[in-house]
Amino acid sequence: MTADDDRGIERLGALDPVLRDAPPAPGSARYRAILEKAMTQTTTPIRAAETPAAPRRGKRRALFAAMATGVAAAAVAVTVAVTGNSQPSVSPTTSLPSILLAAAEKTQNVTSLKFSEAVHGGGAFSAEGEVNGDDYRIVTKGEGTSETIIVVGNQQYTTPAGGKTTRTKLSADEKMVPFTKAAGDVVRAAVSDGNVQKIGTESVRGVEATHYRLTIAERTSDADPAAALTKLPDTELGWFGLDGVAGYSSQVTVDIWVADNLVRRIGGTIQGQDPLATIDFYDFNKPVTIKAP
Amino acid sequence: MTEEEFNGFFAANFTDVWGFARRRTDSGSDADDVTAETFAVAWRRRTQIPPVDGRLWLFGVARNVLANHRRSAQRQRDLHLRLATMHGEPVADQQDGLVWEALAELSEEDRELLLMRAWDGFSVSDMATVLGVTPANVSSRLYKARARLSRELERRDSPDAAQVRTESRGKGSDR
Repeated sequence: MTADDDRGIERLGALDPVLRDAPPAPGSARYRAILEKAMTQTTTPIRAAETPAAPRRGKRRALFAAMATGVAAAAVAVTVAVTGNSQPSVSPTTSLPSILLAAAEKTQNVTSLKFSEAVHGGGAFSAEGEVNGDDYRIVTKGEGTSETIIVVGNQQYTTPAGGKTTRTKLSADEKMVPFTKAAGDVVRAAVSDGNVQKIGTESVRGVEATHYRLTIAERTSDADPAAALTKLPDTELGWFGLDGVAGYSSQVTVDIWVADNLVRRIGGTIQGQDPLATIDFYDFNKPVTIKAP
Repeated sequence: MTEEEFNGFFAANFTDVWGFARRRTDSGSDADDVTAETFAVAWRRRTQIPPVDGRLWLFGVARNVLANHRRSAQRQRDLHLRLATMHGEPVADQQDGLVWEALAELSEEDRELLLMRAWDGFSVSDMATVLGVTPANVSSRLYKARARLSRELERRDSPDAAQVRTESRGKGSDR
């Protein structure tokens, strides 16, 4: 440890927000209110009944950028991640988890696709994107504006509505875990918790898809047994808005729609809170051209 | 733990838990909510609070509540950084801004350890308990995190700092 290292900690300490915002004084109205809330709550999260805040654009940009980057690149990882081998077999009488694993296997061969998130939330957010290998183009809309992101190689081009395009170099560690690996790991985690349901058959973009639901029971503290899902890194869970799931105090459901052994839609909910992003995937392996602006 | 004993437990730890929450949320009001939820969990689990490390157990609960809080509000994963630089935490001067930029370049794991040390005043042993890992693990990771922070600060303190800021985009930045 050098003196410079210690000085870094000292400089960081000077930024402590509590230096500018002191805690409520003991006995004050806020102090008493916090104590009263603590001792009168049952199992409902404190914010559960409040109006959900609109998603913020920064997170959405990061999410879709990461999503598009990983779709094709990590497809191979899915089957391995979910099944532990590369040759899962699916019989007509196979279990629900195995059906999901088979979808992961086929999805591993995808090299291009398009995806779409429907308008939702107070900011009326939506997104459309297309992927070819590691390159992608995404248009996000929300809060009355839009933005286009194009990534070719390690260069990202960002163009706000009516604005100039800026170019940025992406480093490898800025990327989230590839989408398909994340999806596979989430499925595997949920399967290991033994809680997969078949909900029914629904149409996803004109394709009859089977809807499966993975349910994670409520967990209110470290004292409760941890579900396998909570052990995944946020760089995987973030795809589905599940980052920080280790701290959830409500039931979590992850919904997956499968048709022709391909994952067609992923969504979910956290009981009493904002719906998670619901994203459709389509036009698998159809020609997509991505060029720098 | 009786109600009276819980009141004492609350009084003894309130300031520390509130500060822990405030450092990781964007307002005192949010910190109030997180603190209340943290102690609500403690109240529900009052028979399971460790008699020796009850304070550190509370911080572990608070970490989980904060994670839930961030997701429920659809916040950024690196909210504390973004807020400090963009949404209201006043940056006192340019030097403070450089420290935030340097911190934003580090990994989330590095930041968590550094903030526990610099802001919460946790010892290596405290961090190990809160994070559920060994002290040796924390010690090694903290050592490397401090060195990485130092390097990032050096880059920004150098005459070429402007170019560094132009070229780099931190993990906690708005992308």
